[in-house]
Amino acid sequence: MSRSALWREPSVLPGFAPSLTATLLWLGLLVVAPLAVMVATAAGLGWSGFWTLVLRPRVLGDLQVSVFTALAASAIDAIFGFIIAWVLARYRFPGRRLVDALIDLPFALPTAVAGIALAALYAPHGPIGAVLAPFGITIAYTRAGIVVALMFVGLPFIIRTLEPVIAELETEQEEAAEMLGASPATSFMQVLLPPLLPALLTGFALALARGLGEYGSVIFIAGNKPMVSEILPLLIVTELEQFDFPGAVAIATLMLSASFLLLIAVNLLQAWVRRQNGE
Amino acid sequence: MASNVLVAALPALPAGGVRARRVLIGIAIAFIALFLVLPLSVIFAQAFSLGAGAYAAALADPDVRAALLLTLGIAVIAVPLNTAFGLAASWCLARFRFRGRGAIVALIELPLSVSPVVAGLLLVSLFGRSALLGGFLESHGIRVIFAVPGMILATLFVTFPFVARELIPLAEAQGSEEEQAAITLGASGWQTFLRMSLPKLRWGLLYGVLLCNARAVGEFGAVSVVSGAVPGQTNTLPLEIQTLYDGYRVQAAFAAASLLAGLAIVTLVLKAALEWRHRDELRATRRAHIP
Amino acid sequence: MSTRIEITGLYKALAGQVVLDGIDLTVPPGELTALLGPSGSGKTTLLRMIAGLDRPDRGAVLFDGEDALARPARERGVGFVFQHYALFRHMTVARNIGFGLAVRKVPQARIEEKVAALLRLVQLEFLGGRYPAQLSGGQRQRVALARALAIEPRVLLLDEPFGALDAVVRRDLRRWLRRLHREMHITTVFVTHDQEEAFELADRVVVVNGGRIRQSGTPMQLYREPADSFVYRFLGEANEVPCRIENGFVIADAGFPLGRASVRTGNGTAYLRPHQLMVRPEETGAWRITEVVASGPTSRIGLARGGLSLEASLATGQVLALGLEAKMTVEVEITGGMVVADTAATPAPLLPASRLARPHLADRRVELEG
Repeated sequence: MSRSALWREPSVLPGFAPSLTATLLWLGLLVVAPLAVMVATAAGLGWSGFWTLVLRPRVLGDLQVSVFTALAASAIDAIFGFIIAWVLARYRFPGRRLVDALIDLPFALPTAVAGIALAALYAPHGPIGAVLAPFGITIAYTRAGIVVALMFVGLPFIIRTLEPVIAELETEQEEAAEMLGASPATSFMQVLLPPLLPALLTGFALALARGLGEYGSVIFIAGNKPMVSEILPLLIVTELEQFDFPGAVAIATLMLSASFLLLIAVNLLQAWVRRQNGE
Repeated sequence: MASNVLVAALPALPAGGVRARRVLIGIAIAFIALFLVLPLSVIFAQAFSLGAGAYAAALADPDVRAALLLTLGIAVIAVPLNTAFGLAASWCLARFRFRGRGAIVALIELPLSVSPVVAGLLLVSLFGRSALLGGFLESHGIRVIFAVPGMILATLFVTFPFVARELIPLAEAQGSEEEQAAITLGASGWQTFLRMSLPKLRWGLLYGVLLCNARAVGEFGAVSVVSGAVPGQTNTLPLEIQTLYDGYRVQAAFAAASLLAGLAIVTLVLKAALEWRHRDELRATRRAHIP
Repeated sequence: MSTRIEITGLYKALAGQVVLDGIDLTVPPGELTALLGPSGSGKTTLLRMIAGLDRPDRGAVLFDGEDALARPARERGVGFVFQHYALFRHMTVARNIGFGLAVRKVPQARIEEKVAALLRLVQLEFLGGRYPAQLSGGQRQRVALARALAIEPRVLLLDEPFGALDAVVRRDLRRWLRRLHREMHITTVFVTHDQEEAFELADRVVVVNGGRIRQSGTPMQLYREPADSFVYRFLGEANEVPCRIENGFVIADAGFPLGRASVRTGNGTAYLRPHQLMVRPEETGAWRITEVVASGPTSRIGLARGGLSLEASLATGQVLALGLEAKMTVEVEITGGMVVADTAATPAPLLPASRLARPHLADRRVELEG
């Protein structure tokens, strides 16, 4: 009893030990054990062995494709997501609730379904592809196709992070800026944007993390041409199919590290938000 | 667009703001129509492109039926398990303060930021034939990878956080005072849980189960890595869609996809209804994280 | 530098609801005016229209004879202090105060100079580098005021300036603002629902209800000659006694005289403030004390007579000196009040009948006056 009091605050509620045991067991079996084994496998490759596998031209080329497309998609999402979040948080208009519900479609729609739908839309003879073709714009089976797919899956992250923050921003702040003589542009840049920036960056980082790891919605619309329109997760699958297990593990470790870094960035951003709100 | 209704916005507006408002609402609606509504509608358009007969025929295909059954079967196993886990986790993490709590919460959220393909690979490295555990199981005739058990594990991994991450912030926001009162009145631990905590958490629980189920049914990347992708045997519905699509049976692929899209719409409607009717109760979870 | 504000025929309806129903108001230069009213009375809307944050459907707002409605809010030269201050959370106190100057492209050195002077004025010299979240409520209020004053406004508007503060801070700030206004002499309008605040601070109080001005005047005028029962009740506690008036005598429906009024006949209501009831012990008295509640320096006495219950307030010292306690029989003298009769357009003061026990004396005086 006295020992447990050192690491846990006493409570009259029962059930701490069994519920914690169940939680840790499930967590250990499903998350920690596979993670530990894969990290051990990666470590088994040795330092130079690991880097030899990571620095292969195809890996670097695909990495570049993945990073470029995810950055581009998150940036476009950030702009339009900002507008949509603003509209949802601030304005009341007919169909607002429908729009609000639709925002979560990319979360609810299976990625493979989204993938074939986007491919059909943007294919050269698809409804959108056919419109763009005369202008010499090809989306499907190029990097642009990957960007479109990643925009689809990333959009809700931006909107759902920003919307509550915008809703909590008092309209009085803008009015105060106006009363002090600020133009709408000044008011936006100096009064509105700064408090929203951490949330916008958080949403961007989340969309980016999702974009880097996304698979299902991309592979149908991407050309999957190595180093041109092939994403890193697809390379992992390819290597696994060719029974190149060490290669796949090396790439997966690289991607895991990237998502950890993004996760840490998001947490730091959240701490920043809390500090700013004086919490 | 009736201008007056459109502009009946929250604060009374200075005249200059009206046009900006309309432009912004216009951009938002256009973007959502182009990037969300159009992809959704193309699924159904393609599914029925060869008529209702072809649609029915595609769904009657034995491989599609088997895939549907497998998908539902996996969800029926994975969702209750992760729901039970979510309840246990919310009890120990939201009702007690102890060292290491933050680390556990972070670990629970981890699968959300792992690429589904990497998630599949994680399981291969543990249960694959060349792995220690996998080799041991294989020698005893238990096949995990490229078989249904692996697919269940992959689904469990990716849907792992969904219920827990709804319940933890909700239970935290609600506090433990009622539970403590129940205990002082002589209720047992189970009675307290069943009569106090569960009713308090029910809408958050339903919300989490809804999202968990949507992901379980729709998971593609992780399951595809560990599945043998044998039609009629180890193909879930999303994998069957890929098989059909890659086999140039596009209309059949979209017919199968329309089932999942229909489920997604039902999920969205239920989710919106829950959010609308139990807004106040769910506020804690909506504030705590992004869906 | 002082500006006269003239408002005529201001009308505003929102979603079919009339918010302001023809407001006419002149605020003389340099005066401190309070808009007093219950919530939903339209007082804040009126303030926001003077500022340019809301637009009226009809009517005019003139600053020194010049049409203020023609200018957008940001060019009106109005300093506005928001109810919850609306300080910019991500800016330091100094940057908050200097914001209005910075957007006017005032040179940095001049801004710093001015911000320092304003920080001294609001007695926050050493807090310029802090963020709003690090300040107390009273300090935030003063920062908001300094920020509004920085642009050297023609008119200063404050929306419930002390609403979010606790009682002690509120009292101190009120006195401080009063002093500040005396020194700067800027035309100031503030909104409040607290009559004590309005009376203590304002040169002139404008009572607003239902989107209309019910009365405006100095605090003393309002208190002594309330225009109607709404104003009377809003300005302090009141006993309401249903009554009739016969030959200038006001008689409670419960069956006894209350005093005299300039109205000859009619039915109506008499309003009596608790402090207008004098209570003294008298064994033959017609009143009974139902309860005595001492709350600090004043005490509340519950009184009953023939089915009518009234509340008097007396100095606690006096209650003790007279030995008043529950169930005691007492006599009550009504020293003043107001009568609203259905036969008269305006309320009439309730005059003491000196000796209620001897109405013939009062009767004679009425005859003399008549």
